Amino acid sequence: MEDLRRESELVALSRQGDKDAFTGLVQMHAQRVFNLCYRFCGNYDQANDLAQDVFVQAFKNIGKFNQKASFATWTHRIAMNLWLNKVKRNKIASFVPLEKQKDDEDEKKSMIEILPDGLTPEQIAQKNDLNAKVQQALGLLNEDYRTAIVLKYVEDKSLEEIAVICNCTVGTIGSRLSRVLKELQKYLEGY
Amino acid sequence: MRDCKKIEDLLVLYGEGKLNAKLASEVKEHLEICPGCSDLAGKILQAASAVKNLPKVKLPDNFVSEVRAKVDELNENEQPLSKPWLSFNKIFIPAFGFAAAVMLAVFSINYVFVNKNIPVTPRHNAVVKQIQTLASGKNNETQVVKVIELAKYTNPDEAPVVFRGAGNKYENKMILKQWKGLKSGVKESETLLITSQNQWDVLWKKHAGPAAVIPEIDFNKSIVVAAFMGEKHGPGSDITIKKVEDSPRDINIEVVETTPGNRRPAATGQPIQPYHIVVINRD
Repeated sequence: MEDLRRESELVALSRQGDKDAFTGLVQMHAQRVFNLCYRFCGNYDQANDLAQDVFVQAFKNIGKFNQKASFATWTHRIAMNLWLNKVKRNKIASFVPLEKQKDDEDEKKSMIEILPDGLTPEQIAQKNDLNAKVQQALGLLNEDYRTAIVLKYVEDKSLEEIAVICNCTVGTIGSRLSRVLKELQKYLEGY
Repeated sequence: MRDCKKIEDLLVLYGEGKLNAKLASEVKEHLEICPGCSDLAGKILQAASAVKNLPKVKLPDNFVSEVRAKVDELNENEQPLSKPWLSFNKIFIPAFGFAAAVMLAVFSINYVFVNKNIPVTPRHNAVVKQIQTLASGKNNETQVVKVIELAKYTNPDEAPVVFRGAGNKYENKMILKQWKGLKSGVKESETLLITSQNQWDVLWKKHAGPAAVIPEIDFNKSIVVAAFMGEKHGPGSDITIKKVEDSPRDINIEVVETTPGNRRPAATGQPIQPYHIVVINRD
C-alpha cells in the first residue's frame, strides 16, 4: 500500500516533468522490466536496449498514462509493443542459430542469472541446462505465444491482465497458453 | 463429450478456474476417463513450472543512470509538460471534473428523491391548461381536453431539482382500478391527488355517502387521482381521465370534459355530478 502511494506520487510528479521523480519510478521497476525484456528478447544486450527504451517511452508518454492500469502493467504493454516493433523492423527475434546462442548464454550465464543459494554444483549445472533449454524454447515461439507465456509465468500476470495487455479475450489467452505449454513439455522432455 | 483436441485447449482455463460450470464439468469428466489428456494436464503443469522457475536476470549495473541520461537528453518538445494537450488536461480536466462532480451530486439527490416513496402532498385544482376544444358529435357536444398539473410538493423548495433543458421526465402511469359515473356527493369541480388512507376515507364518504363501504387501497404502493366535474343539469355531461403522467415534481393528468351541445336543454335535466376516480402505482 505504501509502495502504491509512493508510486502514485512519483507518477503525478513525473507528469509535471520531474525527472528525479521519474528516476524513482525507474528504480522501482527496472529489475522487473529488464527481466521481462530479457525473456522477450532472449539476449542480454538487446534486453538492455529494449528496457531502456521502455522507460524513455514511458517518460515521454506519461501524460497519457491514465492510471486505470498500474504503472507495471502500463510498462508491460510498452515493452511488448516496442519489442514487437523491433521484431518487425530489425528481426531481433529471428534468433541466432541455437548452437551459437547456447555458447553465448553459457558464457554469460553465471554473470546474469541470479540462482538460488544452497545448490550443489551438479544441481546448478542441471538447473542451468533446464533454464537454457526453456529460454531457447521461448526464443522459438512466435510473438503471440511468447508474450502470453512470459507474462503469465515469468511476470505472474492474471489471464485478465494479459488479455488487456494483448488486446484479446481471456479465452484466447487461455488457449494460447494450453497450446504453447503442450509444445514446451515436448521440447523439454528428458530434462 | 468433446474430443481431446478441444479439451487440450481448455486445460489452462480449467486450471485457472476460468471456465463456466458446464464446461469445467465437461473437462473434469474427460480427464477422469482419458489417460492421454490427464497425463498431458500433469505435463503442462511441469512445463509451466519450468518457465516460472526461470531465474531473475541481473540488472546491468548502470541501468538506472543510463536511462536517466537518455531522459535528460530528450528535447524540450519530447518531455511531458511541453505537450499542449497535457497543459489543456492540467487546466481543464480538474475544472470539468469539479463541474461534473457538482452535477453528479445534484443528479444523485434528484435520483434519491425520484426513487423513494415520495410523501405526495394533495393539491386541489392546481394549474390547469386547456389544450384543445372540440365541437363535434351528433348532438354537437363540446369536448374540452385539459391537462391538469398536480404538484407533489406544496413547498417548491422540497421538490427535486430538474435542470432546465433536461426537462421534467414524465412516465405514463397505468390505471390499476377506476370508478366512473354521474352521481357523486362531490358537487364542486375539482381534481384531487389522494395519497393517504385518511384523505381517501374523507373523500369516499363525501363522494358515496357516510355509510358507504370504503374500497381498499394500499397507499404504500398506490395513489388516487380523482376528477369531479361539478354539478351539471341534464344528460350529456361527462368527465374522463384519459392519461396520467408522473414526474419527480408533479403529476399531470389529461382530462376530457364533455358538455352537451345547444340542442340539449342543459339546465332542465336532473342534476348529475360526473366523476372519474383512478388508482395508479405510487412509484
